[in-house]
Amino acid sequence: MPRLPAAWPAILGLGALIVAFIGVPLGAMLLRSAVVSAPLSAVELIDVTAEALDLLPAPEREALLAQWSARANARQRMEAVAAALEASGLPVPWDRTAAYDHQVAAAAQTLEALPAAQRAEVEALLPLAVAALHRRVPLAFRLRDRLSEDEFDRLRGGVSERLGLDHYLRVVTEERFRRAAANSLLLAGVTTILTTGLALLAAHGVNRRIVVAAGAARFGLLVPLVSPPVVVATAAVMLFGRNGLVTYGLLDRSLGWIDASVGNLYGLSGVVIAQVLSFLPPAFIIFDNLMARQDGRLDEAAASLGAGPWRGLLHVSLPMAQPGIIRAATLVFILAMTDFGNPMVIGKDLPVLAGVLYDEMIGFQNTPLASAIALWLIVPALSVYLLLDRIGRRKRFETVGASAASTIPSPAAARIGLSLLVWSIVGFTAVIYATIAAGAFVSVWGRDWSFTTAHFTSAEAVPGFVSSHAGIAPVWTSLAVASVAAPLGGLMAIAVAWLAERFRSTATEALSFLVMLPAILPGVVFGIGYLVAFNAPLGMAALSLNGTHAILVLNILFGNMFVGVLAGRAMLRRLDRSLEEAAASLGATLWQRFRLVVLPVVRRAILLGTLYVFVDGLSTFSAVVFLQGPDIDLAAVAIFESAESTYYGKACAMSVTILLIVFAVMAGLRLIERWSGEARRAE
Amino acid sequence: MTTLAFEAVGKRFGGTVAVDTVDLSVPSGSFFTLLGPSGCGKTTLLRMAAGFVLPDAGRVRVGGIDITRVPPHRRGLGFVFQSYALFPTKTVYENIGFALALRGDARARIASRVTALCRLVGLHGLEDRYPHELSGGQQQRVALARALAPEPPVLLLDEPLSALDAEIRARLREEIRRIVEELGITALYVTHDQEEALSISDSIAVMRDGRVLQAGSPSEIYLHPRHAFVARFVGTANTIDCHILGADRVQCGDRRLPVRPNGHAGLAGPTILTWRPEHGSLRPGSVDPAALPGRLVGASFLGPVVRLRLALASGETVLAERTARDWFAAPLEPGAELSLAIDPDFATVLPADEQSRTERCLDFPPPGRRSSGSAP
Ligand SMILES: Nc1ncnc2c1ncn2[C@@H]1O[C@H](COP(=O)(O)OP(=O)(O)OP(=O)(O)O)[C@@H](O)[C@H]1O
Ligand SMILES: [Mg+2]
Repeated sequence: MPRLPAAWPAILGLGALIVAFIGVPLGAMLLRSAVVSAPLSAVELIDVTAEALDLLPAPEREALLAQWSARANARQRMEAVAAALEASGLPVPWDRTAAYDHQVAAAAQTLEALPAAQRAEVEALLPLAVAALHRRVPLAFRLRDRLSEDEFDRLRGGVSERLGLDHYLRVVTEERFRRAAANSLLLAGVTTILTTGLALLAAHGVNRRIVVAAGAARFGLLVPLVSPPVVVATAAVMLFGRNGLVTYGLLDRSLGWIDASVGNLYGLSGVVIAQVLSFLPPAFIIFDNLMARQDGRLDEAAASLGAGPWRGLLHVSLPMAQPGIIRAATLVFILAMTDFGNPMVIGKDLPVLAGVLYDEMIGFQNTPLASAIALWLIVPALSVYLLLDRIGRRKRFETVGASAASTIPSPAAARIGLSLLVWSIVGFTAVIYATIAAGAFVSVWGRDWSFTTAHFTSAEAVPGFVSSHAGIAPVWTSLAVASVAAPLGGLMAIAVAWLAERFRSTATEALSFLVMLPAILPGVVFGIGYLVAFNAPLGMAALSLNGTHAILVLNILFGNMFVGVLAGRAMLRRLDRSLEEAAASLGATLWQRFRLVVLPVVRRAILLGTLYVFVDGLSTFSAVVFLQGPDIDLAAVAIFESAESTYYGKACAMSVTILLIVFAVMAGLRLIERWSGEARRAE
Repeated sequence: MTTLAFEAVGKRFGGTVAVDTVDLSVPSGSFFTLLGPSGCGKTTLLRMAAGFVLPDAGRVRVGGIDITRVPPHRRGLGFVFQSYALFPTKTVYENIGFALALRGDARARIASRVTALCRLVGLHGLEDRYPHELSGGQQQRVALARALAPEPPVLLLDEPLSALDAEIRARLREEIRRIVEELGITALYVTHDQEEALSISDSIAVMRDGRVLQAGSPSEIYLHPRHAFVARFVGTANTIDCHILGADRVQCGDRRLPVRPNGHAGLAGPTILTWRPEHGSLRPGSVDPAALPGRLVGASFLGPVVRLRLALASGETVLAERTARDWFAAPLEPGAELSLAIDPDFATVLPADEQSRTERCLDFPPPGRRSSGSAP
């Protein structure tokens, strides 16, 4: 490996950025989840206060103590006596929960009854006890410049922080969390089994060409990969909710078959359906990648050895798909566990752990507890993944080259069954998108079907729905954020890929591992990490990034860089190293080599990386929901909030706009690619 | 007992005719080879026997029973793939025992059978390996054992050796031949390597463009080709224009040559005379009326023999051979006048085909296997 010294500044620079914006947030979140704060005992309070007072010159100190103790009222004195007794190691004999009048009298009596020596000791402590119990806040501010941040916080708040697993334990021990966790596990379990199974069957059917019009079916299954949040849930409620077009409009009102206020989609089954449809595309793509390279000869070999289609699937295809099954199931499980959008829009009475996390974050700003919950959400899936991955290690194999599919005609039952299954999924997806498109132009879904474009323009399209933003303004904010993040992310990804491939070392491997982390961890975790890490970076509140556009750009950029890095590394591995060495021998500098030799080759990877950051920037939800400040509205969050407050028209309008932007950009890139391809061929 | 028969079988893929009305019978217990250039339809024919491809026309019979519409997993025929197609998630043991486990054999039975097969194909001690932990040759042995495990009456092999290097290829093909013979099963073997075909087959069918041109024993195919293409494709052949004078006589240029009576007297249209280089003998001078006159234009040393290039008076170029010993005893200079007498028993008259005309326009040596292939 050529380890040119010239590369080190670049590696160090990029490395610092990656550590700062991926490593630090995740580490900070882990740390924060284990920070437990507890109130200090009376004795500790007195110690802390005494220490702080020692910073003052003696005369000032004495004056202050005298002044405070003189101003203390009867109740404050009583409490000081109790604290001083404790600090001297004496019992507090009266009932601390009794009425204050009684307590004040009891305190005076206790003091009287003490032996003279002890009484003197306790009384000497009293001014300090008064200060410790009632004057710590002014004292802290008076000493602010002379105290460290921690000392200041401790003195002012009277609490101490220690490391512990208390937040994690709460999730297990408290009934409220336990119930939510049980719901989450049930939901994630059902969703994972259904999604993985359906995706596996669909990929099998499409890749073995058992499904009719397999190419079109694949396209239809992949389109929802680009999707704003809660699209499925929103459409499902619009169709099957209490006022749903099908449940209320058709079955209840027109046909009178059901009562839509009872027979609707809300609840566990509705959430499962929404989650299955939302997570099917990413699971499908995993199986599709795996099976597209699978050798059809294996099916034929199985058949020639006596295995019919069903047993071939069971004994050959399924074991081959095992790594995909593990990967897809882990992915779906984590997605389902950390999903709060669907349960909150469509679940209503079904508390899930992710929803509790959302409440703790948004409602109580209890970041440590939220961090602990976030980790609870992914720990089970990740540990199962690592375990299973270890077991299957020796069987690992490479499928080389593209091999022909099997030509064995499949039985009619399989053809019909799988075609029906796959095409009804595609059809359902189409209905969902059609519903969203229609909802964007209807005044009030289910009540007032008149045409309107008001959802796109005005702040308050419909009396009764209040919205904090004008029209689809959040979409433009998201567009701006994504447009800044995308090219930066694409370019940085290539730089990282190049350094990792060309200057392979422990350092660059560690960096690529860091870059991959956001791919494994759900957005919630990454988002909370940013919140924790950049609230007061390096202990300086002045540097805080929270509530700025910058933090959103950074989060989106670093959270999605891995796609560009993966694509770039794959392409660079095919680039002949000698080309670069030739350029180096001709005197090209590091930058010139990168620009002249590497960049032209990895153009597609840059494009892919940029596109991915862009699309995710437009539609990502869970990472930014806790990050956007009070002054910024991102489209994904606004869509979720609109849908959750049943203002579907606005949610639909913004979703439609995002989809249009994404498809327009993709189509534009296609055209440019084709055009530049033709230009190159013409040369 | 188990013949494999194709009756007027045809298959087209879109516009391409892959197999065009093939009639072929593979006798029970014989080692039968399909030989032909790339794309001639060998694989397609074999895959129709296995049931992987449905024929558009005709029937496939095994032991007289029509299996054309039987799905592959009910045919009970063994298949060995060029790419091995071992199950990557299963060990050698599980691969070989796959068919037995599938049909529900007892564990002990499977174990003894797998062990016996491993010994038969020389895999002893590798039972617990995964396919990716084996060499190419070992993988193909596993594939062979796996196909043989359920004791199929017919074994189909599609270029099983073409991914291996020359030395292993030669060794393994002898082993395949021995094993198939030992087990007494019928084998249909596809290859485009004529040397391989000649060395291990009981019978060979030479195919071109989806048709079987000639089927017969290796020596028949080599010594008495019935088609100009067969002559050229198998071994090295000379072809020159000729006119038929009678059942055992043709005219080439101004010479009349004796030939093997071959039922060619009635042939209409242009005809050619074909023979192997080793069936011509060279004499100095050019006056012999029953030999072809020519000039020596080149010689290449092939080890045991020296191959000579002769420009005939007609403008055609042909090959002849001399043993290395004779040649070095009396080497000839280029330009030497010679006459070439052809052994009448191996001089065959055939209808000319497209290629025998175009090739004469090409510079010598002609492309393809003729110049590189060596006769056995
Ligand atoms: N599944 C298919 N779809 C379309 N065309 C096919 C298919 N299989 C084979 N063909 C075509 O049919 C013809 C015969 O193919 P086949 O594979 O039988 O040839 P082959 O004799 O085995 O050649 P090779 O020696 O290269 O393996 C070729 O022209 C090929 O392109
Ligand atoms: Mg073939």
